[in-house]
Amino acid sequence: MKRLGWTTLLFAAIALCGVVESVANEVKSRPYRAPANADQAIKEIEALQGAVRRVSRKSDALEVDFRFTFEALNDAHLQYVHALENVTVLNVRCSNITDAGLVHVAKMTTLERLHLTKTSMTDKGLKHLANLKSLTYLNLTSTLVTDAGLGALRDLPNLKKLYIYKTKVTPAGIAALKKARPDLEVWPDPQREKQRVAAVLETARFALKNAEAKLVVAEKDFKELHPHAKRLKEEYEAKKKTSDALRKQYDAARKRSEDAKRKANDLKRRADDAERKAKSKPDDAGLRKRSQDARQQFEDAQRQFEQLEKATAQSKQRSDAANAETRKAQDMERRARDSKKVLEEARISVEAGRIQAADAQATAERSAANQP
Amino acid sequence: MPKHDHWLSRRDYVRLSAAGVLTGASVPWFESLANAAVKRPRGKSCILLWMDGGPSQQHTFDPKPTGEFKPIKTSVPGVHIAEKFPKLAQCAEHMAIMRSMTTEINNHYDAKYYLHTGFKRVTGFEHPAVGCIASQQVGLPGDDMPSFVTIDAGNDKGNGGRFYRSVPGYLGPRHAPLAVQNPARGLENLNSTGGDTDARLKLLAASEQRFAKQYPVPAVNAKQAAFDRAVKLMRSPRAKAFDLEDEPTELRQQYGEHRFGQSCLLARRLIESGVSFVEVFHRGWDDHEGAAKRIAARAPWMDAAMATLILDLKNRGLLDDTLVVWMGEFGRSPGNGSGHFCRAWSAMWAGGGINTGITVGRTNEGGKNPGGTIEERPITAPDYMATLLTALGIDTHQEFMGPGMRPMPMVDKSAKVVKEVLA
Repeated sequence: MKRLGWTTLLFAAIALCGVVESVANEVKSRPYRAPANADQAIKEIEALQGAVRRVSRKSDALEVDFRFTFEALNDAHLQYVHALENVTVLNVRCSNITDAGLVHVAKMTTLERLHLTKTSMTDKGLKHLANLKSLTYLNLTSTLVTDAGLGALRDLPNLKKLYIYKTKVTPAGIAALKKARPDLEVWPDPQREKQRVAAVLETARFALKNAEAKLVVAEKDFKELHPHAKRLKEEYEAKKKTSDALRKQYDAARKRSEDAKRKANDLKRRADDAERKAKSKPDDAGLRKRSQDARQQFEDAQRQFEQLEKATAQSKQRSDAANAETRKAQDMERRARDSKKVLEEARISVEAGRIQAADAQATAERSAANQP
Repeated sequence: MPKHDHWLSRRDYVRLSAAGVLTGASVPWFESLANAAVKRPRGKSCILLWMDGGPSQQHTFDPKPTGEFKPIKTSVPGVHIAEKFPKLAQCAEHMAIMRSMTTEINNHYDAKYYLHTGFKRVTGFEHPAVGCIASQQVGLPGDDMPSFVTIDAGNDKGNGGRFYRSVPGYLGPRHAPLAVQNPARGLENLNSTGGDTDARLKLLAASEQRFAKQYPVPAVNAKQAAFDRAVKLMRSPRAKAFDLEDEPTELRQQYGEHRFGQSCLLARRLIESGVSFVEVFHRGWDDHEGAAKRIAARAPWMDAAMATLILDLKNRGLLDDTLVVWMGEFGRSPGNGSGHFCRAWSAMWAGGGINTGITVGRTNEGGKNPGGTIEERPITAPDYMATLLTALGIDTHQEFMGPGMRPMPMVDKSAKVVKEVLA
């Protein structure tokens, strides 16, 4: 039993291929038949290669999609939509709908989005849309509407987006409409397009300037530093040796200085001790002598420490100076070593920047030429 | 094949698989509708621009003042992108830039898998890719056109390792993508060679029928169903969407002669003709020798193609219904962009009815390593996937029937939708 199910499905699928072409021929001449109910309307819509869909998972609003019916759809067929409830989106893009068809659209008062792209409608048809109080989006791309038709749209209370690409609508018509309805987004908007072209040109030039500045530096480095790369490397290495040695010397001097300081502190303690002892027994000559000796030793040690401190400070200065020299030499060495790569990068960046700036320039010129 | 009592009958399995929803909190859509003839919502369409190899964020959408590319003003006050993208800068009011992507995986293939599926790669089975999920959830059922198409936009230096191909996994082979190699040449083999196609198909049908009778297993049915869909596409007038010669020369030039630009143009045509998910991939963003030189060279065609795509969709009134996504599998090291950097990187979305003219998340501006850490709203790969699917109109709380009759969630349970992006 189950096997039969599979083969039937398969045979039907393969047989269908042969049927598709003859069905397509039938569809071209399919007349409008008033549907008994919504189900039948949907069946007829599907027979025309249209579709009825939920607009979203969260509501029961419907979309009627005739985008792929092409010549099969004519004005009368739009009446099928009247049999359906809560249709908010209608799309008749690329079909044969004319102004007469819009008479039927006028009755679809729940419509929010209407796509009339690439149909044969004209300014006359727009009048029929005056009743569509819920309409928020209207797409008239590639139709025959002109400035004259736009007046009919002024009173649509909820209209927010109007698309008039590839129509005969002029900037004057758009300006007039926007004056009456400043909240309406009309696309393309000539003002916005002018702004866009100018901003792109300005930015492209800015980026090109940056790239050219980097190229100047890169070329300079390549000319002046790259040939000496080997020497600069040797210089850097020599300087590094020197600064390393001076650093070691400074470290050693600092250590000596710290040792001397510790020694001086010890001797100070001993001298203070001896002085106290001598003071407590003023008659003891031995103690007094010892105190004097201790003080003398401390003062010698202190003097030695101060000398070493001075020497350490000098050593630090030399070491720091040498470090700075080494870092400079390292920087030069790196620039010399990378200069070829950096130059290549800078050239590519400038070349690309020139392409973009030239393109922006050409667009700006074309746009200016198209202004009335 | 032995039958167990608790296994679904084959008919039930096929019916429920077709619905794609077998377990989970939400009821299959067709049971909740009064009128079963009404089709499910088609959600938003998506064009995914995949920069394979990991594009450097500091050289594109998250530039730093001390960086190699300077930040420039855009059409949205306060939002800056890298100076090499002047056209995209003027599209900023249609964009949402996510700068706080943080995705744990720094090696190419595993990262590509993670960002395409929302799950970490495991052995044993494959998760479905985002395009396949979209095909199954919001693709037009039984349509002439495939629901998911990939387009190869070419290679650059900077090979990003093994390429990840989108697989439908347990969603079934009908949600595998149709691959277009070179957009300028259209879809290969779309027109049959030799004459008398009908007679040849009849002959084939007879032998296929005998074979299917003898071997009635799902794989045979799947193969023959795929063949039938190919024939349907060949005979459909909508297949001319694959032919770029139809487009005016001026528009083709605006998109740019580069293969990426022509791929973006083809993507727009496919969306118009009913395809739900188009993935345009460009390989070679793995710039280990430093990103500045490479991205400076790519900027002219990337800037032109993407800005033209966004504005072309907007001109035709399609941008609200089409989500454009730009991303790679991770970003690159702050500074010269020489290494992989999954800790803080950027993705850019446009259109699709999301909140636009915004940035989401932030990386540090100052300090020793600008761009090295995230300061605000980290976005993990599961968060990202949940947000993307939700933006397309898909209920991410559903589950699929996975291998071994095991329920598989659509997104990882740790996923938190990025509310700032969704309107």
